[in-house]
Amino acid sequence: MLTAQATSTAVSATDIAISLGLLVAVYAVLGLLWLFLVVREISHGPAPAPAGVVEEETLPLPSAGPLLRPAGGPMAGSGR
Amino acid sequence: MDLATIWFLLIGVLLVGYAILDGFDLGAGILHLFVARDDTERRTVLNAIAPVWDGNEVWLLTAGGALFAAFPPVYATVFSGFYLALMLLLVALILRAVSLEFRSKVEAPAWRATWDVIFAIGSFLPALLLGVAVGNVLRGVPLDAAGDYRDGLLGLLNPFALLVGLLAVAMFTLQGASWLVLKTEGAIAERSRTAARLGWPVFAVLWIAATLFSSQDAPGLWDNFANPLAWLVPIAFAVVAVAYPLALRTRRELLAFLLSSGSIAGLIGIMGVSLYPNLVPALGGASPSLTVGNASSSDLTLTVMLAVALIGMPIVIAYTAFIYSRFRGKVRAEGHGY
Repeated sequence: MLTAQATSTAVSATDIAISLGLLVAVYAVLGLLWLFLVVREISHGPAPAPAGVVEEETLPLPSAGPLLRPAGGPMAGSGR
Repeated sequence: MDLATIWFLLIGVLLVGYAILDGFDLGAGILHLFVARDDTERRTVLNAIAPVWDGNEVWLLTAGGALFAAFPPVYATVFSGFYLALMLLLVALILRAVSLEFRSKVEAPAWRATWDVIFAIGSFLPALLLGVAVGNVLRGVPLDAAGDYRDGLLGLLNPFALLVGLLAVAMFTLQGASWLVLKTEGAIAERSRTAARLGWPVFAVLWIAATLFSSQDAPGLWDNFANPLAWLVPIAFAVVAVAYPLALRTRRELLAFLLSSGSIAGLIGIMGVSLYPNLVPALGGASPSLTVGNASSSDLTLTVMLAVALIGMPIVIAYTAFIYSRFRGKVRAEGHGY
């Protein structure tokens, strides 16, 4: 069955145009509002961390661990 | 009882589930501009439906899916013929969902007030459009020789269908008020109680008017009432509907909500009894009515669907009951939520 054969004969081209225009308009407005909210969120930046929470960058590096072995060590060339 | 009749009943059950559950969502949305006066109160109303509103809408999707599988010619006729009305319904539901999510993103009063109005319109329009669609199905639609309806959106706006549309708005508003009485406290609960007290006579008058109108505009709806057993449904509806204001007055909030839900089930039950065996009565004589006999899928399809439904429905009912029990009790605009 071709697309042309499968269209509904009870729905007019005008109805299709109206509904398509309606959905395009709604999603265009929603897209712009979403953009506004994203830009606003970025311009505000992240909220400050609550008191008592230590940020990740300030944590000391682990003194030794399997992920900190020098290149060429046992972890290198593991096939991943 | 044949398989097609079983599916007529099951789709009715799905519609009852939708009308009861999304009915209070839509009703709360219609009412929230009036029963909630400031931002905290409006957030309280939104939080009263927050955990469940999107799940409640799935009942409508399931009913549509079941209609597609069980009675494909009915799905084709209704969804093509009522195309623009259903697209308007879709847009209203989209805007309603977006307003819930976008409202809390900005604290400016104008932003929130705008989304509040959109939320109210997005709740009112689906109630009205669904009622108008049901009103047209009850009245019968002019089908051509191919079984299609071609009179467009304006053809759906006849007095009887508009009356049923208003009845649906009143029914959902009453359900929303009953839910808010149950889930909120203080000023919102009292205003919701007032809305329910004022809304009940409006609902009753609209139901009586639609019933009287139907004897003129859709006399075929009365045929099944030649059987005395058919009167059990409207009698049950009348008992439940009359008990509702008594429960409200005695402040039995859960009972009032259950009675409001029962009146919705009764009203849809009356429609089902009136319609059967028709699904879409035809006007004009160019095409026969679509019935459970001539518009159903094969017995194999209906049997497979029934097996799926018998497995799936208990699971759906169980998790729905679990969710409602987890979120039982009064809500406030504190902590997580909108």
